[in-house]
Amino acid sequence: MSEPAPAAAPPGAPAELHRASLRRQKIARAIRMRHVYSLLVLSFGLLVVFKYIPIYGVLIAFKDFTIHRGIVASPWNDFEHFRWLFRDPFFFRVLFNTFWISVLRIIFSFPMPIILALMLNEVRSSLYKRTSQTITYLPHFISWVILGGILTEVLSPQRGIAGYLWTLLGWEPVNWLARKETFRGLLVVTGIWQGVGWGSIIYLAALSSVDPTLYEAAAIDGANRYHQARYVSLPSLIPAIVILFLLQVGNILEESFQQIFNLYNPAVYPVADVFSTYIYRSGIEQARYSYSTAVGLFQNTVGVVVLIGVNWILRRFSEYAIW
Amino acid sequence: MHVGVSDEKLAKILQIYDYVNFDDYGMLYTQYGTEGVNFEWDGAPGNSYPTAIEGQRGFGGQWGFGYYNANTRHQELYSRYQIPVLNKELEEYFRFGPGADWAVPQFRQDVLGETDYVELFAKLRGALNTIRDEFTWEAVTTDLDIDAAWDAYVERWLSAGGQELLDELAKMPQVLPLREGKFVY
Repeated sequence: MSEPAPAAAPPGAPAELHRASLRRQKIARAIRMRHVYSLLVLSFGLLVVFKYIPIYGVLIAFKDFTIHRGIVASPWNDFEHFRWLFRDPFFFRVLFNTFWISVLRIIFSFPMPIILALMLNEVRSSLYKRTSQTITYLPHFISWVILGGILTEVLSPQRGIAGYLWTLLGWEPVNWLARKETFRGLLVVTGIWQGVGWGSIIYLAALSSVDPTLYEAAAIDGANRYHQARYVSLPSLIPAIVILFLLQVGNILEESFQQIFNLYNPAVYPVADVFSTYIYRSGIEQARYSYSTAVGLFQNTVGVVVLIGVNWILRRFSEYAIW
Repeated sequence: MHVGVSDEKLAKILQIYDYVNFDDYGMLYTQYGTEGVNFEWDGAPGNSYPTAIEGQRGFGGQWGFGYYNANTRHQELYSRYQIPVLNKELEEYFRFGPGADWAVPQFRQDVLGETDYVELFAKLRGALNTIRDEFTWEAVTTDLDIDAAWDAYVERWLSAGGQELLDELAKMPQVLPLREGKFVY
């Protein structure tokens, strides 16, 4: 429903009066649209209950939280947890690993769903397209606990099919999951395998909304299929790419706990231990909830700073920033 | 113990605790019941395994054969996780048999809770275990020269907080003199 544009202020009328009139129009419109607005109540309520009220729990990052005293009554501890975090012998290693694995993912994993979506967009056989989509989505629906078991078996130097093929080629079997040189690569590759199909959905949705006349016009101008993908499909994906890129950058210190936890072992701690896994072992397993919260807060703060920074750069050099 | 417990009640609770845990008769009575009614000695009285008398049950069909509060455990549930024959064999071996000689008391124990060992251990455990596990895995899965790497590993463990932990440990009384009622630090 299109709203009539608010009337311009009559020449000579006081600006205050005009603003009051606009306000009245807005209120009247909101009352008229109350049924539509009421739909927001539930989602807004969910947001408040599950995203804003729990923020109050962040308090325990600054306290010596014990369960029987509760959040409010636990004593303040003068940033003790943050001091422990920064003096932890593994802090910088864990920080580097988290950051570096995230960067590797942004470089290698992030473009994969875009490429897959562009490729699927070119497929003309509906059966082939749907089958490919289903096959690529499937791993997303399997928990990392199960995927971890599958990968451990497949990559096992004794029992796994990968180890078997490796030895057929005449090479010594390699325990990829226990080698520092191969582990990060495996994380990236298995992450792509698990997430590429699911990640491509949003790009496919964006591609389905591209005006077909653009392709027709491009074809008339002599563009082949590659040119159409390069100059029509890809530019139309840029807003979605920017938003997803910013979301990924905002999570730069929140590496996938489930994937790493289910694949790593002490032999690869030096290259695989990230904040979430290290804090699981040194915080949650020792019932140090305050400390774990402090680390979570640190991660989020860095995430927000990086997000704002990248958004600022994008706004400065392109027109696609999110705010 | 709840802070609101009165002194009289606290004294009573401690008496019960003392009776249940440190009095020979009290311990036997609360764990196994009455001799001849609930249990019989397997061998010499007081120096063998107490065996439940067939069909003996505690309150309301529950099993009163175990610890003081064992009545909360249902016999069917209890026996699902326990193998009485094996328990008996193990206990006989380690309490009365050759296993009894193997018992090595720990060197020191913080019986009066005088040190910050527990809190410190909770804080350092993640890092120390990480160092230990990494070294163990490397020693097992690679051709690491353990003798050559050992000193560096110990140094790493100590500097990651292990030394603080050992210092705290040194503040505890020794266990062997404690058995004679002496506090030797």
